[in-house]
Amino acid sequence: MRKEILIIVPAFNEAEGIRRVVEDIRRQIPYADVLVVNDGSADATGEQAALGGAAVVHLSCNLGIGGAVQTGYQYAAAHGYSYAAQMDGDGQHDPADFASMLHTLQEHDSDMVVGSRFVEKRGFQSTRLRRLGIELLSGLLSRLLGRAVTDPTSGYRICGRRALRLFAVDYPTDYPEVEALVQLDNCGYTFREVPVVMRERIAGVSSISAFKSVYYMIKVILAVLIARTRKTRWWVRYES
Amino acid sequence: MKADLFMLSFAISASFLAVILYLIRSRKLREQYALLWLALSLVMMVLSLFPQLLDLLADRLGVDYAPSLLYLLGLMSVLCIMLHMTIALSALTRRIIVLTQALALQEQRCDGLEAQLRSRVRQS
Repeated sequence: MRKEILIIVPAFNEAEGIRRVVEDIRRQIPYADVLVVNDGSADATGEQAALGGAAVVHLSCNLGIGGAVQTGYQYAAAHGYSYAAQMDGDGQHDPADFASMLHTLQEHDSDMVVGSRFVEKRGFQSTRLRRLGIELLSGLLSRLLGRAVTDPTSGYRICGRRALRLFAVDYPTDYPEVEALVQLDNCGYTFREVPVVMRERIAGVSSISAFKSVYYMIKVILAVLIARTRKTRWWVRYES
Repeated sequence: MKADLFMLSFAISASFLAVILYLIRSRKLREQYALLWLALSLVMMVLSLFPQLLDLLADRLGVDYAPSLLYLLGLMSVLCIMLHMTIALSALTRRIIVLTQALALQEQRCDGLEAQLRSRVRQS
């Protein structure tokens, strides 16, 4: 009865669009379970998601995207899912791309696959300023990890069993996407990027306002640099 | 005249110590967070009883104006206490996250079990 794949959708005050997003996912990816993590929303996000047919976990206070997504990974680990994917609750991520991401994960035996909007540069490319920030981060990350990373901030990801177990135990808070890649690489796990087409959000507003983006950049750069220094831990060295 | 001022500062630090002890006793302040405050009030008491100590220390360290050493010490202690508090705050944040997640997952499990039970009761 339980499926192999869990799709985690973190949602904060997305009551307007969440039902459509969930129904869309369930129609296009019928072989996966959908879990909406309601991150302490003040509106009817949880109820709307349940109406759409998703399993819903209600966080009693707002933890931010990192804490919400980690809850999903904990759920996946506890229920023994083989794969856990994360997809935004605002409809930016197209479920049509999911199959190719899953295929890449299985074919290359990677630990994680990230949907990147900048590999083929199609679809919604974000605003110019934000793109500049992403370019800066991808430059930094490519240098740190010694490999090309085109879209480190993408929250469209699918993880294998190893990675989902890691994230269930340890996942960065606040703005976790970029740091999670470093964390994965620190453990010697692999990830790949797959071109996807992102859409503009269906409803609501982005959680990152212009004012917060300065904080975002500083926090993420600092977190990434510090996370990189964690690589030389004894449990990493003695692994494999 | 001068001795009175030192007595006054001693009285202030002693009452500060008393307040800290009272707070610990009434469980408004946990010992682990109070240790630094206790240490600070003890240092304040010693310095107000024996102000020569400060002069001596300043002389040893090559500080010309002894009271500025007092400011330095005070500032350093406050910085330490603030750092200690931020560390404690970070630990608390982490615990709240873990608790919130565990609570949410348990609630979800509970709801599922309840629904299962209800449908089983309806069937029988």
